[in-house]
Amino acid sequence: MAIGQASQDFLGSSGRLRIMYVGHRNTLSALADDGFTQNNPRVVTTHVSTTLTGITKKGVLGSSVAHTRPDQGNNIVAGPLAPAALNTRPLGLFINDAQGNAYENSPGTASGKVAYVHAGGTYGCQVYETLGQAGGTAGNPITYNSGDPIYSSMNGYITNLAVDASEGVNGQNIGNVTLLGTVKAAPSSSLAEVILDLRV
Amino acid sequence: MSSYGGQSSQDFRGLSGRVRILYRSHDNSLSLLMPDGFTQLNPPVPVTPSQALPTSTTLSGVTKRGVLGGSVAFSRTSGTSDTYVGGPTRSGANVQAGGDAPTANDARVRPLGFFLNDAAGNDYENKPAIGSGKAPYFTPLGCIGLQAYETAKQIEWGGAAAEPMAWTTGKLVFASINGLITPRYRDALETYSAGLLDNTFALATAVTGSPRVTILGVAVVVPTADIPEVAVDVAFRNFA
Repeated sequence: MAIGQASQDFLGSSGRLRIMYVGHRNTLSALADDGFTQNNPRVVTTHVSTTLTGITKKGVLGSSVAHTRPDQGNNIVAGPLAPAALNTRPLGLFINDAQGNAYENSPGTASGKVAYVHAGGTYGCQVYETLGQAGGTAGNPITYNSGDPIYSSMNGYITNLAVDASEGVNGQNIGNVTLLGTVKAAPSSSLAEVILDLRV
Repeated sequence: MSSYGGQSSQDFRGLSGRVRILYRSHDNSLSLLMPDGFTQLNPPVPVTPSQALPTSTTLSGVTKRGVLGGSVAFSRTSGTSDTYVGGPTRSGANVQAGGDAPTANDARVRPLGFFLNDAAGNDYENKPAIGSGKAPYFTPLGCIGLQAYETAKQIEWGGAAAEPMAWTTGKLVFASINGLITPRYRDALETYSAGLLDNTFALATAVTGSPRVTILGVAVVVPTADIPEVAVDVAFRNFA
């Protein structure tokens, strides 16, 4: 059973992140220019998540992972960098699409900032990796289970595969990969989200 | 204008504290401050001619004793009670070459958060730490701006100590041997107290990705000419 009820099992929302218990909504940093223009997916285009079906919008998406972006300067966030760069670290989950939605205000475009949630809380993510991205699991379907650890993939979406983590492929020690959270409820035929407790 | 945007006196330097709480978590005052938390030098590992550990430029002009706002609060034990917090335990004599080796108690000194105020307080203000024996600290999670941080390498390893180091956004943050934040895990108090370094700073064992060393968070804003502050997204964890 889905947790609660909403149109189309919560897919009828213009947002992709469902906030259940909020930590902080952080707007300290500006969004990098490529945060408004990136493709989705951003890096690996051969094993595309089924949760991106029909999404042609550019820019970071709600539910995707905000990263530090030292290549763009001080106090800048966006999706992960490709090709790899050091010190691109996951910070939290973007709340909204950078480009906003038709017939709504577009605060990301207007302010140059896109808020992300961090500092704990519980969230439902409608965008997540459904296929392995790298190594021996590339192209294989991902099965999420309650209790799974969650990382940021090289595309900047959540995944339970540490080998696909953006920090791992950035040439950094796999031991340094940030644990973003823990799955509370896995996607099912009646739940189109990964519900997770955030650890960052 | 600072990289944060916004305005404040002297580009945010007109504060009596060294901490700006950007996204608040908890201000924890459960534990008493160790007596040496009121008397320690700053930095607590003093510079000596024989084995100079460089002093952070952010401590220039600071003669006040006791833990400082923006420094790291560590778990401490009095020997009979564990309900204390304080600064780092290693005195200069301990850490300098020829000093004693880390003890079992040192392994229990772990970072908990960031002190919000100077233990000694400020002139013409209330002095709640002296009055209560407690010094509240900021606990994870949240975001905090710190105006006390290491500005040079502390331990001679892979480059001369005192060599300036670069703060870069995205770097992981650790608690230095002086109890200030540093991006170098080799300078972490826990690296030393876990016996990963010996008392002559020689490599005792591999420390890369050591699970013994606590990651305090990620630097999201680094010091510039506009504002001498490191903003940290605070999320304590250890290497996998």
